[in-house]
This record gives sequence, structure tokens and C-alpha cells, in this order.
Amino acid sequence: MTTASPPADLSSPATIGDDFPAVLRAARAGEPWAFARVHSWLARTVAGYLRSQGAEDPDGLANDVFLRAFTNLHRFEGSERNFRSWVLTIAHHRLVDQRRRAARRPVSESLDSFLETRATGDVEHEALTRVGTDRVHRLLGQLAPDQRDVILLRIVADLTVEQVAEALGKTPGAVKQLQRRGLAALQRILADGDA
Amino acid sequence: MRDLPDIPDALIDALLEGGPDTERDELGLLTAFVHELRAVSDDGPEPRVDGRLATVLATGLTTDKGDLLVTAGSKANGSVATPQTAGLPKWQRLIERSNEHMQTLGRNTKAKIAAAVAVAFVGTLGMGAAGALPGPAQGAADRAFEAVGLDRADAETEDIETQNDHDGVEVQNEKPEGAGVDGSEISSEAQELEPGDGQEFGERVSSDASEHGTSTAGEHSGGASDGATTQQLPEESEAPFESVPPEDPGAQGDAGTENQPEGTHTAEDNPGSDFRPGDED
Repeated sequence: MTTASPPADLSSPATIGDDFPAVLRAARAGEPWAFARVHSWLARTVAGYLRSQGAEDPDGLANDVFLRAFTNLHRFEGSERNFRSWVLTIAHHRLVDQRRRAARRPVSESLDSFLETRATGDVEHEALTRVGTDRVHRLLGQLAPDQRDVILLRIVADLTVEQVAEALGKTPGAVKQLQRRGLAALQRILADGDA
Repeated sequence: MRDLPDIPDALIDALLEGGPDTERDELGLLTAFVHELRAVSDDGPEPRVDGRLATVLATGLTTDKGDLLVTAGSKANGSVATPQTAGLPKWQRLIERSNEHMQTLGRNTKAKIAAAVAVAFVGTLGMGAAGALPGPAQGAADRAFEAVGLDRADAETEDIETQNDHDGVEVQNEKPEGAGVDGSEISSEAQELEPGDGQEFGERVSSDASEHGTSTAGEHSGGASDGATTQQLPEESEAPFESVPPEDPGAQGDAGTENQPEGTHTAEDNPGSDFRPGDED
């Protein structure tokens, strides 16, 4: 079953780079080291997107996202950037499914869970982080849901307009209009000093 | 609410993607927000990994169905440290066992087994060529010989004759009596006819027609006096049954013949008539 030996550096979270084809091939073959590499690469991004969207259980949902991605690798074809977009599209779909199942709650209430940060022991860093996340999420909470989805998928998930359109089931023109209105709303809020 | 009407799409794309060209006054606040959002997302805590994902990350998945490579013996999840393997199917295990057994044998034993297999193969081939195999096996052997271009037709014919002799069945090469008319017999009989046979009959018909000329049906036949008129037959008539013998009283003067073309009568016009050309003979 072995198709490739694990690359030496397994701790690079930013990108996989030139090793991506080998990692993908090994992951398709079921190699655990390849799964670990992909997870370490995208886990924080997926969990961050889910938290910023106010998911009820972002960690559990992120685990579900990776399990679905790993068991459907045979359906994926493309580059490293395409893979990142594909995983985050799965994350968005899982988020929508969770929202449909659960009773819808106000965004400001669900965003409270985002303020739970890990205990690092660095009180100053933790305090700054809490302040930053609080401010960011209060800003996002003032956007319309469609605008927030587009802004987060464009910025956090780093998807293109076309990829966001496919993930949301909208046209690229509609996505462009939503992102323009969302940014205009954010600019107005920031200029007024509401945040 | 302003709609950013003067900012082109390309600049908005650059802003959202964190490009360097967005440090403009009108976009400064938005640029700072995008950077802050990226930082918050990337600096977030590592998500907690639950049991099943931990198993996948530790042991992997099968390639075809996405199942775990290692599964527990019961429905409950087994220990990750000491997983239970599902194992191979029985037929695969049987093949593996036989392969392992072969590897334990010595070189001489393997050579003996190979020689025995070769002798059995050559012997079977020879029996097939000689036609000495049992029925279905021989059929398969014959097809194999045909496939490689070997012709066993003579041997097969001999086999059939031998089998018929054993079964007491004789091959029927002669035609049974009355089974049909041979075309060569008809041809020989036609050649044996005298040249004047047909001519004599034709002359007799012609003379009868000349004597009667145009006559009524009642005068001619003396039976069917319905007033129907039979015209004299034209000489160049090509109708298939144009001659009517005078000996047949019912053949002429039937009702309805006036609807027929002049000088033509068919046998089908008079179903009661048994007359056919050449019946006089």
C-alpha cells in the first residue's frame, strides 16, 4: 500500500508546496502520515473558519470535515490551492447542515463560543487575542449572513469568487455584489467607530 | 450605506486576498480589518481531535471504500494501541497458505512437482490429439486444436463412423421412395416425347374452333342456356388457358364469363371443371 515515503518536514502548517502531489497520492493510498500532514496544514484554518462563523461545536465539526475529506479523496482532482478550497467548501456545507439541524440562534450569541481561547500561560498574549477576536467578531456579527459568508470564505478560506459562488450556490456576479456590499458595510462601521 | 462604487473589482480582490496595493486611504480601515481577521483565524487554537479521526490519523484508511484499515472485532471501537485486524478473505488466505507451503519445500521437491505437472500436461495434450479424452473434454480439446490451426476433421469422421457402428445405426445415403421428384427424371421424360404429340392436339383444337365459329353457349354445350356468348378465340391470344376442349360441356357458357376479357377463360372460372391442359392425353 506504500506509495511514497513521508517527507522529512511534517510540521509546516502554511503550505505543503512541492510535496503536495506525493502527499495527496499517499493520502489516497491510505497512508496515515499523509493524513496527519494534511490535517496539520489545514486544521487551524478550518476550525478558525467554523469558529468565525459561530459554529456550535467547531472542533467536532472540523473533525467531521476532515473525515469526510479523507474518505472522498478519490473525488478530488487539482492543485494544492484547489484542495484547500475543496476542504473549506466541505466545511461550509457541514456548517450549513448543522445550522439546518439545530435551532437557529442569534449570531451574537453563538459568537460567544469563539471567545474561548486555549490557555497558553501567556496572559498578555491571551488578553490581546481575546480583544482582537472580540472586536473582529463583533464587526462580523453586524453583517448580513450572506455577506458574512462571502467575506469569510474570501478572506479566511481564501477562495476565489468562482469557488465561493460554487460553494454557496450563487452566481459569481451575485458573490461580487455581496462582497462589495459587505465591505461597504464594514467600512461604514469602522469609520463610525462602532467597533 | 456606500456601495464602494468607485473601486474596481480588481482592487477589491486584492484587498480580500491581502495584496500590497490596498494601502490606500479609502481602504486603510478595511485593509487593517482583513489583516486582523486573517491573524485571528490563523492564530486560533488547534482543534481537538476526537477518537475516530485520531484512529485515521494513526492508522490510515483503506483506499477503495474509505473504511478504516484497522477495525474492531465488535461494534465498539477497539483500542488504538492494540487494534484488531479484519484479515483477508478465505480464498486469499488459502492462496497465501499454499504459497507459504511452496516456499517451505526444497528445490528437488519443487522440481519433481514441476515434472509431474509437465508430464500430466503433455499426456493430456496427446490424448486430446488422439481423441481419447471423455466427451466434454474432447470437445474442448477439439476447439483448442481448431483455435491453433490443427485439423482433426479426418479423425473426427472416423470417430463418427465408429460410433455409428457401435450404435447399430446406418447412415442413410439413399433417398427414400416417393420422397420427391427428381429434376433429372422430368428432363429425361420430356426428351422422350414424340415430336408430333403436341402438334396433333393443337391441330384438333384448331379444327374444332373453325367448325363452330361464333356459337351460343346453349348450342355448344347443350346445358347452360343462359344466353352467354363465347367469341371466337383470337389466334394471337397469349392467355395461359385459352383452349377449351369441346368434350367438356360445362367449360363454356357459364354465367359471368362476359366480364372476362374476350377469348380468355381460366380454370378458376369454372371450379367444377377438372380440365387442365393436357388432360386429354
